[in-house]
Amino acid sequence: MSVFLQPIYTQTAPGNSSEITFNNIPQNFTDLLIVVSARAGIAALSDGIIAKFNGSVSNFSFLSVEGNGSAASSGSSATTANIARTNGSTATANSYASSVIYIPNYSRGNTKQITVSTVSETNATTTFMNFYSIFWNDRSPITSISFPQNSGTNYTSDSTFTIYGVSNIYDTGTPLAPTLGAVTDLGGVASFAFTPNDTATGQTADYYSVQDIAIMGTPAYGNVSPITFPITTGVTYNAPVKAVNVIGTSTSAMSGSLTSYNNFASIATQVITSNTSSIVFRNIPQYYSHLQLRVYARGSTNATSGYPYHIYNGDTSANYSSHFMTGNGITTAAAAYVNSAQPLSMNFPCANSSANIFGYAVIDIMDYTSTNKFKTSRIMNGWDNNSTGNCFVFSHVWNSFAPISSITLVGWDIANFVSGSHVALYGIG
Amino acid sequence: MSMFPIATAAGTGGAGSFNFLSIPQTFTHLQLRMIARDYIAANAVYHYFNFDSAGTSYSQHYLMGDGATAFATGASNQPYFAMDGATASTDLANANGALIIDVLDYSNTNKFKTIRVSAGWDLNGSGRVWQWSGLWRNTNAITSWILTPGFSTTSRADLYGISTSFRTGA
Amino acid sequence: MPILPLSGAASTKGAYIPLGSYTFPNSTLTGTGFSNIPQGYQDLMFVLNYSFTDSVAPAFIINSGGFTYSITALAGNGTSAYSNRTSNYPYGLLSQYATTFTTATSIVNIMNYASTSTFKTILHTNSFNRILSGSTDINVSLVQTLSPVTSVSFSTADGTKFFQAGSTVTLYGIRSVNQ
Repeated sequence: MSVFLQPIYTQTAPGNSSEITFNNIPQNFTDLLIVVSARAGIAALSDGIIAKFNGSVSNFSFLSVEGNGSAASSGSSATTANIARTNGSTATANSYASSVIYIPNYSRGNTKQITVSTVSETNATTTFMNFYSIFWNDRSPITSISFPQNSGTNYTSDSTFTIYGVSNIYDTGTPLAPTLGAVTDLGGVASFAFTPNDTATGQTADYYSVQDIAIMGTPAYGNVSPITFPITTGVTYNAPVKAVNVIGTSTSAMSGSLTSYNNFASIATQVITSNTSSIVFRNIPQYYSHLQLRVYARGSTNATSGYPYHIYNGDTSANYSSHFMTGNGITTAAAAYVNSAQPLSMNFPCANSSANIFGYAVIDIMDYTSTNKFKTSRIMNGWDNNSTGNCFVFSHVWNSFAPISSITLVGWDIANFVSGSHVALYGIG
Repeated sequence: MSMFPIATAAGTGGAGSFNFLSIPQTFTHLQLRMIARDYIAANAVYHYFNFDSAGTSYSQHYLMGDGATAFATGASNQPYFAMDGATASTDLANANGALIIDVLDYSNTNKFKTIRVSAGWDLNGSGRVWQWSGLWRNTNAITSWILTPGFSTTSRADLYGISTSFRTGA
Repeated sequence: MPILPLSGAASTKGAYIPLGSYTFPNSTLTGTGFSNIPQGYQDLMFVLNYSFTDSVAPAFIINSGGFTYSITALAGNGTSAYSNRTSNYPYGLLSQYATTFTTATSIVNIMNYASTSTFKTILHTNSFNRILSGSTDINVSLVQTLSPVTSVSFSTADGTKFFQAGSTVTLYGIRSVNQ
């Protein structure tokens, strides 16, 4: 590592989230130092941020010395810990709490003794400041850190969280060049696989990057292989993977000419071989612009047809709405499901329909990673039984600014998706 | 990119100030590290941003131990930060107070500026150790930082800028 | 403990320079430390993540000792906030409160360590927490020597206790402009 205080990650709260998470924390530093400047919507002068490592709030305890503007006190808990403070909505406008968190030996197999200094200043008699001693009774290396706001209210936009790596070894030389692996066209992005060669003491990379040598443009960065690099259809690229530290940069072999005419890439396909009540796509890559689900399905329930629905990110609350119109060759109909936890979004033939008849739905989800938009999808859907049938157009919205990282199709009305059904997820660049 | 020294200032032994002017706006956070002995019989470290020292834009609170008692207090609507981190000219010879002051997001024009301070002095029989918090109710980016009232020739202050990362790790 | 080769300050290398690092390999008698500390920085900082084989207050010694140390602390033990002082001591205390069979963290800033015209003022924190027992404290210490700090060793109040295997300490130099 190059320097004592190497910034690893920074996030600025989008304004609609009560928890900020850092995943895939590099394990090759000695300690971590985290600074937080935070404000949240809680109707209070100040509130806490709960300690959460590796997805768990368990095995924490804390001691603190605290001042509240007029008295000093000390507190403790044997089961949970606050790791920092936020200002609340009744604190002076535009004021944010300031915290520094130091985690020594975070990546080793020892229990963790964490020190925190946190202040929540406001132009009033009462304010809060703490010095915490936090004990995490867990020997696991810390690979992710989350900051859930204690009351579950959203962090105000402009709340910032930065993780720094602290190294006890100072690099004395340029990192060794990585070995380029497979370069894969994923439709809208190219995946650059590589093997780091950080075997020499004092010559380690702080990060890796990919940038076309002729076009230049915005580099793509990463700490681990592969690095995904956005590409434009029809444009020819030629890029290496670079290993960078503060001493210098080294470069892998070039990728060779890469031209993509594919802006529509398969992410994953699930083939159903027995009755399945729900189908889930997790860890959806975030580097596409839009998503499309193509669903070929039949239901198991004893009815002619039925309605499944789809939800996002495991959100089962009444945070959706959907509408449809339909025609069956004779009549038309329409329906609405507003503020619903079951936003019906497809219709498929079921057990009482003629055998071997499946329905088809194409679900288009635009701007699925946007943090400024609710997520709207358009569904074209239908099935035909030779004597009966239906065609549908659905609209569906999820009232959330969160990027979509998972999609769940729930059988609901059709009970189960039967064998022979399959669902394919595509990314559109 | 990490933490870099921006400027340093040394005391003159008389009335005056540490002046950090034209602070670069290329960092994300600031840290000031200071050892201080007042040129007068006081423990004061007064400081303010962007020459704003005459209004009511500052508030501050502290948590303090004096070797016998722990207590907390504060003040609102002040014309500048008034902290007691320096030793006095009449205190034990050669002894200085120490302060480390952090300002996060100093150039963010959507935020008032919060400072977090660790400070203390010990004179082998008396002493103070503090954690301070302070707020400058102004969304302007911090471009200057003045510390007064004047410090001994053995006093100094060093200003550092701290960068942040381009990666989110989400 | 070896001091890393002074790589030479440069504007690209940041303010904090790791100077030395040590992991205690087995139960090590106190007194281990860093020597021949380079004098080219403004402040020193060390981070000690440690545990002892017995309940004892952690300590440090500058330049093999012979000076007067004192400490003022603000602390909390989970029940009460309080302040204490120890004066006229023969060595420095990282904390006035004994670390009891658990890992503790000390972050220590020795300000102006190379000065020949000032005593050494040290701002430091110490925390240990063994689920409702422990102490978290903010401290200021004074070492009454005008000599520059050239060595730091780690000890206990009685000098007979051991660091447990896996304890670590890292020393950093903090440079100012033109250093």
